[in-house]
Amino acid sequence: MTGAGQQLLALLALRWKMTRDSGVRVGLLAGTAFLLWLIGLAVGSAGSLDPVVRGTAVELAPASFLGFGLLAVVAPLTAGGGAEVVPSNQLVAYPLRPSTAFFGGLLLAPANLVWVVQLVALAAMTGYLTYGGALLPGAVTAGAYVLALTVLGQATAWLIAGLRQTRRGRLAVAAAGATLLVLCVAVVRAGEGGAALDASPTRTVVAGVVAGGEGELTRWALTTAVLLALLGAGLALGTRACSWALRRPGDAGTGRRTAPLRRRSARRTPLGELLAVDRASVWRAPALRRGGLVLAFLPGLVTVGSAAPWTSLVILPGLVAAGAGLLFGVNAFCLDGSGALWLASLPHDPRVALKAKLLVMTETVFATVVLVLVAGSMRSPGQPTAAELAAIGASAVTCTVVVVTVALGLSVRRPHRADLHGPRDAVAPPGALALASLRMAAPAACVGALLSASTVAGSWLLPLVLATPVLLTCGLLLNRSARRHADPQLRSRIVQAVSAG
Amino acid sequence: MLVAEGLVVEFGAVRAVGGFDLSVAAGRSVALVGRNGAGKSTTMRVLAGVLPPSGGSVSVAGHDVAQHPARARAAVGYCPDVGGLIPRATPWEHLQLAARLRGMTAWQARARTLLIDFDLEAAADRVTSGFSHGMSRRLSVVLAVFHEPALLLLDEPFDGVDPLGVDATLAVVREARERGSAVLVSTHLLELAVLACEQAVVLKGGRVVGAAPAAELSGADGRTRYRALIT
Repeated sequence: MTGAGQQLLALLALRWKMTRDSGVRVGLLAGTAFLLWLIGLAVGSAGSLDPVVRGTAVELAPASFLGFGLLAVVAPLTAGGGAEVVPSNQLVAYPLRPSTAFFGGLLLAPANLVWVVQLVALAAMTGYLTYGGALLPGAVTAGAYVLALTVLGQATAWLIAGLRQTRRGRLAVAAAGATLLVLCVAVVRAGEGGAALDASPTRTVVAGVVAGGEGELTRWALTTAVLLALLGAGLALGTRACSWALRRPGDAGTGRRTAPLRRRSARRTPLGELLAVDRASVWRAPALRRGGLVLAFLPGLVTVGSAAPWTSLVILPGLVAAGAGLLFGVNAFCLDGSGALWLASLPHDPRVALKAKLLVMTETVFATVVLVLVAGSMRSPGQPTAAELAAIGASAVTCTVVVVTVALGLSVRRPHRADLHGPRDAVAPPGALALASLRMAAPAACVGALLSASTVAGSWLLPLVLATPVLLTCGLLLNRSARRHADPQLRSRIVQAVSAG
Repeated sequence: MLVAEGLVVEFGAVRAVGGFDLSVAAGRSVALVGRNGAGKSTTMRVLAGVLPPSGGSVSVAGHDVAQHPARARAAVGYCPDVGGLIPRATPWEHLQLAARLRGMTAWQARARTLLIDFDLEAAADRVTSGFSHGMSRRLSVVLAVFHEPALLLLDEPFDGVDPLGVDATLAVVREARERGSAVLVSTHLLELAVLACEQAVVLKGGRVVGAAPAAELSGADGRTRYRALIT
């Protein structure tokens, strides 16, 4: 059997060959180049900042590093351990090493847009922390932190994925998660959130970055060495945890697939039936269920903890909606699987089937946004002004519509086959998902930022006026997607794509 | 009941179906046989209205599939060659959906009978992603015959199915024919094609290379004749 490195290279080559769409290939290369440019820009932005602003940013550095650490655990956890270069059910006939899966997941960490955003934020922080001194040593420490936390996060995620293979393990993980949640809420409610952040070990990391910039080599070297040791330990632990999780005989998922479900009553209309089937297809998929819950609760928890001001809440829907759109929206027809062939032979208006997908997508995205906003508003200081409330409402609706519009367009133009049987199954290949997340997050974040800025004017009407042209444009784009879907040739291509296998 | 004329299907430069005529009268059953890649499943998809043809026309129960797709589909019961099931829906939910989209009333008794006949009663409320290949095939046949269609299209209905499932499938084909439905069965299993159908049409490379009463393809002589046609 070949080594993990060789196996991973072979899988990457296969993945690249399987990316038939030249647009996706170009997009991936351009995205990588853009990311590198952005990191350079972020690092170099320190010089252009006002010293007071730079000082405030430096104060936020430990929290920023801590945020990255949390994300490093959560991101692979939502992927059931780690993202897959090639779906494991397509590789069952090959003697793949578990470490290949582990390293593959690590390599795909940058395919997560939130991870990338946090990385750029850390790059900017490193620039601020080392401003006026030597950038390289500080950057080495920050880089070691990024690598160590990404590896440790993935190792933890595999450990949890392994524990969740059995019912007892799932209960233990749920209990630990609930305890952690209660603990966090208690600390925040007790007003000790700031003190907890002050005690964060990331302060030591930040001090190490600063020491690197100022030429305090002993402190810098010690911090960097500890981070590198953690990286090594993470690699050793991660490969073992991944191997254990993949080989552990478990009962996860099988119960749901073999246990009889409660029979629901028949719906009165074709749309009602299609909606019921589509909703069930979402919530019965382990990956979608877990992703939805994480998306609904984690950003809400963070906003509760940070007691975000009302104007900041306006930005939130854009980010949350983009994440929710990734659950299944970017490839909505994959919910039908090979049943798409049978469905296409039934006498129904294809517009009704499209409407059902659109409604399920919209309600999933909007519900996630509302949940996060409600959680976030619980500790926002003071009472919101009418302008802030209007902006939050407009942002929730507009960002949802923007994301749904982009997602439906992608579903119609770039369908993929996706089984969604297992915990690590994704709705689309990693590259396509990365590009889709960028295409949804960029416009949604812009809309959020625009509406947030509009609150400065103090008028409740302004957010609504600003949202109107965006909504109208989305309406036109949705209509275009519906017209495309009305073409029998295109519909048959969608059916062939999602039912292939 | 089914009339296809000059049927052509092209995927880019590849011609999967190369322009042939096919017809099945009411109360008759025809087997579409041939090797893998002969164009059987592509033909079935076109006849079911799932795949628009690149050329030619298809008429089902007097309705042109391209002009009146909904009317044509209402007359068709289709069992696709692969899966054909919504992975996280149960058999009962499939039947509920089919009944609603087809405007069926009082369908529950028929659904229960079919589930019992195909030994799927115990699995009626389990999601189909946990089904074996044979169970999935049997459910696909149930969904195709559920509304007693005027044209029954069964694509590889015997593939991986146990003897009892094969018997149940042969029984519904016989019942459909007796009811006056036209039946088209696509399969690479010649012996079962002979048992299920009266006529056989042999496909090779997307073209019809032979047509004969199915019985003439049975036995050693029939197999020899069939081999000569497909090689």
